[in-house]
Amino acid sequence: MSRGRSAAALAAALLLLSGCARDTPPNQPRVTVHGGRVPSSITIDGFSAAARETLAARSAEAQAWQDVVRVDIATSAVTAHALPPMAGTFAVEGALVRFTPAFPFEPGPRYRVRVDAAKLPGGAAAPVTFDFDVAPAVVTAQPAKVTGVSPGSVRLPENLLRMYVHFSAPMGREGGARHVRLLDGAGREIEDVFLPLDADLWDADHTRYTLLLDPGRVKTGITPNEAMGRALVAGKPYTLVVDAAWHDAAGRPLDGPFRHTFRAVPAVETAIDPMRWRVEAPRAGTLQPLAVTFLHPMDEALALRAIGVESATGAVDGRRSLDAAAVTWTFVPERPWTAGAYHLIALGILEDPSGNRIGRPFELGPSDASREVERASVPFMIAP
Amino acid sequence: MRVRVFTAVVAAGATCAVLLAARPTAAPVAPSTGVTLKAIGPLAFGPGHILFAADTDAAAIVALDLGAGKGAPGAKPTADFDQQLASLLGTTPSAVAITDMAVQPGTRHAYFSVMRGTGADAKPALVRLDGAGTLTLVALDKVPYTTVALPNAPAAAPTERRNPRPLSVTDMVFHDGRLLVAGLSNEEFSSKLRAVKYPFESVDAGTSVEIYHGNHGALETRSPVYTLTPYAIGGTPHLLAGYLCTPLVKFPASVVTAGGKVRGTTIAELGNRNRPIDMFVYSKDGKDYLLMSNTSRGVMKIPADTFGAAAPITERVEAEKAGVPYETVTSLTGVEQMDLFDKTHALVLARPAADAPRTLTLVPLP
Repeated sequence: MSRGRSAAALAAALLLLSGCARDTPPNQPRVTVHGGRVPSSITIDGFSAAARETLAARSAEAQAWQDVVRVDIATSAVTAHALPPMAGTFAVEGALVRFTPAFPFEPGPRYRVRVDAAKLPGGAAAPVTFDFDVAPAVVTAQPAKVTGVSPGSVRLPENLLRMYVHFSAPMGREGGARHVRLLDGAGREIEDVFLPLDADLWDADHTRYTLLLDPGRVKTGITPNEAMGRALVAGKPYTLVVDAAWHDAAGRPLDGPFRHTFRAVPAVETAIDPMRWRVEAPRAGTLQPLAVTFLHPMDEALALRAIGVESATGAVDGRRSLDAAAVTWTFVPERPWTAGAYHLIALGILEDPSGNRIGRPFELGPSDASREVERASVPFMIAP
Repeated sequence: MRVRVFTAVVAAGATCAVLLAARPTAAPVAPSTGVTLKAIGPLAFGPGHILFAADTDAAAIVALDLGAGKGAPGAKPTADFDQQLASLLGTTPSAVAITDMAVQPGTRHAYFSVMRGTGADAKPALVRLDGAGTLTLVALDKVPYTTVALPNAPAAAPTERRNPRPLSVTDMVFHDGRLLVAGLSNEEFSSKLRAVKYPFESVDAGTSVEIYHGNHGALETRSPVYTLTPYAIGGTPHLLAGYLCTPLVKFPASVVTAGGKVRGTTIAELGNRNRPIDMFVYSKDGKDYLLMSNTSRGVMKIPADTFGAAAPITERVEAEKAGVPYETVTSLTGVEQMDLFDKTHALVLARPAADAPRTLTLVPLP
């Protein structure tokens, strides 16, 4: 079916194809599809009053009506009656029988309505079959594309555990396992890099996907690590590739593939130490950003959630951002800075992309003490 | 500018966290109807006819009162399960994602949590299969329910309107009046187990379960629990937890309390590059076994009678496997969902081959 044709036109075409002509006898059931591009319900008329009375006594569920009316997918490969009818509810409305599906009809499958009134009082002898399709939505916006990854640095530690892939528009529910690959310097795919998770790793609006590298390969001294080594080796170049076959929320492939090339650098195996961050405070009376520079790239999501600013009177409202390399965090207050003492607050959930936290590296031996904190506080001054 | 960690503020932060954790509401929530879920994930049966379902997009749990089940008892094995489900939902098999399966005690009906659609308009569905093979869509809008929200992870600026939805529920189990919820974050590595009293009042702040992962030679505080099941060891209720890469851990159920930190005991290392999917305990010929399905290591049968006396793994393990031994059930492959059906059978949803359609079978317990 051609894109953009109306459902009514499609229905009419199929009506003729299926042999259910408009000049059917008065007691011959007739099927009508209602609604716009996506039909919201289907009605059948032509049932006798006695038949409608019999049907009205039935439970509304589709399964209770399937001997008389059933709506399902017109599949030729299987015996359709061995399959359950499409879930929904039936009701007698005056001279009509109406079917309202539990889930919207959708583009793709062909739907089939079968009506067999033979066993009903006054029913016609010949069963009626009526097929219809749903036209695909006309989506004018561009398909989603990858806008970047975080950390977007061209130097990433070889014990990298987590990256984020950002998209320009909402994506579908499918995860990235089949669409994201890591290539070595010769363009060969490195196997078993990412964690085989089926958990939902999208953010709330499906524009950010979390990529988790297999900690089994990242951690030192364990079998996959010793057998295969880390996926990333310091000094070598790599390319992260996102293929275009990943579908956006409208079901379209991405607007092209994405590649990010970087070089692995030595592992970051130490706890985050806010004492070593460089804090550059602006002057009072301005809306200049407070800039904080980390020693290594920080986890983007956590840097934006777990770092904040407090004054003597409480949390300071403002806009936080992180540069593409995930090394410089900035904060622009809603109202101009006033002179005085402030604190940069970092919650204990803050992590770098290698899983290190404040007071606790990701890898901790049984004899190592964890100095994890609920939150850390870095004082700074805004000068008049 | 050089900076220092301010210990006084750290202490104040800790107090704040405790206050946030202890915020119970006064009385159980009254049931209503017309639940709307954004998504549906893990399922767990509770008392009576209660089915708990996790809304993984809304970070909430709903308790659905299914009432006395209609339909023939049992769950009929179904060869063309994908096709059946797609037909009921009026779509194609590729547009259906099964997120969990649970067998209802008593009726032994199988319930499936399903996402219908793969795009932004994907809809959650709960589907029941009975012993006659009838697949029915549960009319969620007519089911009495109560709901409870899982606490959001903290933010440094509480005034800011951010909704990170960081928690995805990996498994749930109802035990002794409480629903225990294991979750995975899409941001930080975390291993919080949360206990929810039912009828719902409030959710505790969660317990961090710290384990020694012999294969990693390191404390594994933050690895998430993927599957969870209760089991009494020496008369004391315990929880068995399956982790990534794949330590099997036991800890007393009573230790899951608000804000606590627990050191679980690792009793087996079941192999790397693997994630456990489902597990349950059953009895056969007077002995207890744990049956565990996995992403890459098949289905494991592990003698559970030895769990009490099992030596804890506290040293680094050089071999791939250690601790309580297991045998692989070679007849079961491609298992995606598994639950205890009755005293002698498991209900198994599996792909016989990669990319083959799923079949639902009743398998004699090994």
